[in-house]
Amino acid sequence: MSDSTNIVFPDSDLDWSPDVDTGYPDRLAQLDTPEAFAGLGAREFPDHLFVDPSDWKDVARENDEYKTWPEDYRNRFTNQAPTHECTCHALAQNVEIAWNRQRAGKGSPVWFSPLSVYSEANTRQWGGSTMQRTVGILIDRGILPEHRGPGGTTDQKDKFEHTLHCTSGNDSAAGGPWVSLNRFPSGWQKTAKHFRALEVINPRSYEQVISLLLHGIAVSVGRSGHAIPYVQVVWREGTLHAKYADSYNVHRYDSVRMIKSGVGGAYGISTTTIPDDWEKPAG
Amino acid sequence: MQRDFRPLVLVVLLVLFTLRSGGGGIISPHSGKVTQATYIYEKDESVPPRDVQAALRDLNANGILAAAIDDDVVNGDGDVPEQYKIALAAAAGKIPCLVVQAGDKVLKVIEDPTAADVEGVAG
Repeated sequence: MSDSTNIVFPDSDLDWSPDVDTGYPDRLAQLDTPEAFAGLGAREFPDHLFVDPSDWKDVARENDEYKTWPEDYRNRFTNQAPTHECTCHALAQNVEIAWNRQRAGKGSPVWFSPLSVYSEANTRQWGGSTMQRTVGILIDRGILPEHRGPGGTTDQKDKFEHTLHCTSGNDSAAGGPWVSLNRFPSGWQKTAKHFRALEVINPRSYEQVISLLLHGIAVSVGRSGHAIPYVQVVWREGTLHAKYADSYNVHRYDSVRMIKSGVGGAYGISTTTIPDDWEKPAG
Repeated sequence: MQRDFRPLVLVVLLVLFTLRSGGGGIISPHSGKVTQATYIYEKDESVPPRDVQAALRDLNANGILAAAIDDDVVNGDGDVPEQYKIALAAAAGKIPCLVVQAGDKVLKVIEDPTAADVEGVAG
């Protein structure tokens, strides 16, 4: 069994900031405020989810034992390079995890297309988007599945009436051209509406971020110019870090300082729509 | 003269066996066999305990449709998901609970279930 309270990783994976624009510049980060999240229907952190810091390691060990970290419900990595889609890749990971957590495992996974949200969040392709804008779209009209799925590159194209490629980036298995919203497949809203967030939590403190993770809820944050999804709490040499699934096909780690810097624009997805039949998620 | 009822008994037993095996409409083909187990909670009050989540995952691995859902869940059309209508109706006033079903039939509702309760569903 893995032990989250005693892990090893190189310093090069700590507090990583890209040296290129990935889509979360300061001018957008400033717009991600608790007031903006409240305006789109995100709720404040519910008190019953708070985990006292003195219990964090014990709860972490329980998550190790029962495999109930957000990471345990995560489907796959995505690769956004070289686009500005980071907020939407962080979003897609988060909603996939929420979907699987409700399903009590990865028995009915759906791989979602970050591009299907980004194309509306930023209609000009380059420049990025805010966290609240992207999760607001998820609440409002939902996200499309991507062509690719667990069964291969056209797996979900065969399963759903409307799909889109994962990214407008270079990822050979999942990349494709930029697609503006008015070029989405006709009737795409019929499929997207089945994949909406029902409850989004906007944590207002570092302790609330950690508590959500300890409850198996992924937390997407924008910090230091880049948006990422936290999927686990770990300790290295006794010091707490948040592990994330970066949209460059790798895990990396944030220090407490970095976690705190992203609190304003952070969110967890507590619940999503659930289909009439898990085998036919879009009807 | 003493009548021999043995052929009649045999016929009755055969009919009962056939019905039990799914060949008739009197006894449901799913009677007794657990097909679905749903942990239902109110997200404003609690979350599924970690050991319960693990037990639900094990049920899925054993072919029982298991999930943990909020009592206010809806589908993409804003309606109660078809597959959880029966479970949610049975859970009313008993949340958090585990609703155990055999097809459309509710076998039991366990209030405030433990991981052992969930594991027990698999038999």
